Amino acid sequence: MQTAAIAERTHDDVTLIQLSLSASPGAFNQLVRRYLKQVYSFNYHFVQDVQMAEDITQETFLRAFRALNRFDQTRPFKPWLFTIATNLCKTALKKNQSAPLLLDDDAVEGNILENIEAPQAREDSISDEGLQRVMHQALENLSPSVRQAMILRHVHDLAYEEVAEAMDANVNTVRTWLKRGRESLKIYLETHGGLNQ
Amino acid sequence: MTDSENNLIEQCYAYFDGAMTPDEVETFLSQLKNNPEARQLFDQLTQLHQELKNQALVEPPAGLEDRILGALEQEHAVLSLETIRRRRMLPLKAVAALLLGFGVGAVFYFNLLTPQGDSPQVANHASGKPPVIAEVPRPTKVSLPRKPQLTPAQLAMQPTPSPFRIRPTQGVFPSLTPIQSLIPSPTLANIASAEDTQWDDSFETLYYGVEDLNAQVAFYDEALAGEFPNIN
Repeated sequence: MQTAAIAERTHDDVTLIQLSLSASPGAFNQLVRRYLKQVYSFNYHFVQDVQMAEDITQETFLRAFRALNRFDQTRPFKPWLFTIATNLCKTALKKNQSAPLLLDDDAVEGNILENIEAPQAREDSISDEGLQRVMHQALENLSPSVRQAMILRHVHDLAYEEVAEAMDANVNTVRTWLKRGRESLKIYLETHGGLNQ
Repeated sequence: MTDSENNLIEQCYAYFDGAMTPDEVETFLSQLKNNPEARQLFDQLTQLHQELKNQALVEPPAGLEDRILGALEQEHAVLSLETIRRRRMLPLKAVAALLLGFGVGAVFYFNLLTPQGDSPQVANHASGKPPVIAEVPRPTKVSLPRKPQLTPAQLAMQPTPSPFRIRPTQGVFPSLTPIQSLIPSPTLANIASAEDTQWDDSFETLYYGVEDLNAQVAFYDEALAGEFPNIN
């Protein structure tokens, strides 16, 4: 038992999955602890609702657990987990009419430009809390696709191909989203004092 | 944002992504050294990249982990219960399959042992009910060889058959008369022209009747020869 516990703490994803499949439920608990923050953050930025993000996060892990025997162990676990989360977020947004209003890329860009042109009191240096708020605002102003691509690539360090797989999109489309997201974020943060000039 | 700035941003992210060759990295870093504006943009993007990583990760609410682990535990319990049920059902299924196989085998073996065709099938023997004789296929009716039909004229031309070794009595059995005298010739003609089955039946009766009569005659012949050797 102690050996299994050590293995759960130290082993990689594939080993933990194999342990889970061999009737060791504690192994999957370790996977939950390992990815809970990332999955919750991803879901939160996608649906922008705390309660919904919690429910989707729980459902993501439950579905992953049920489908674990169908998971291709030659591939990385994290993109597969984010694929489940992405699908659940999309379904939840379709069901919930109070989903983020900015679903259109053009509308989002217009919103960003409007915010840029609006007079803002800039501070040379802002607090961590202020920076966090500005960063959240910057992310929220991105369209859902661009935001998810940015988070998957730059927060969760997924490769372009993995981002494309998780979002069920073309790699070139993902590159376009990322390019647009970087530019928009930079402009927004420059305007709102999130970046040091 | 100018095109050169966009290109520089792409170069910076290619550098962050590790998508540059060593030569490209060397060229890029030398560009940053020589161009202060490019260096400033690179620093901003580095900060943005780092802040994005730091700030985008949101701390999950307290209790979410326990909630998920509890749900997983329930899920695991359900799966375990299903597994246990399947395992418990396994011996019962095996026994049922064994009984079914034994029953089918017994019926097959019983059928092999039962003679086919010669003896009637006995059913419901084990149920206590009176045995029911199964229907036995009726044997094919075999008709006797058909006697060639003769016209009445041909019959008249034919000599009177004398199958009976009846000799004229000499007063011992005055009542014994030749059989042909008992059968009128129109009757024979009627028999010959009758339907097959009817004719066959009549002819059979007639034939065996004659045989019996012939046997009686022989018996009396032998008796007469034994008791009255002086006759003939």
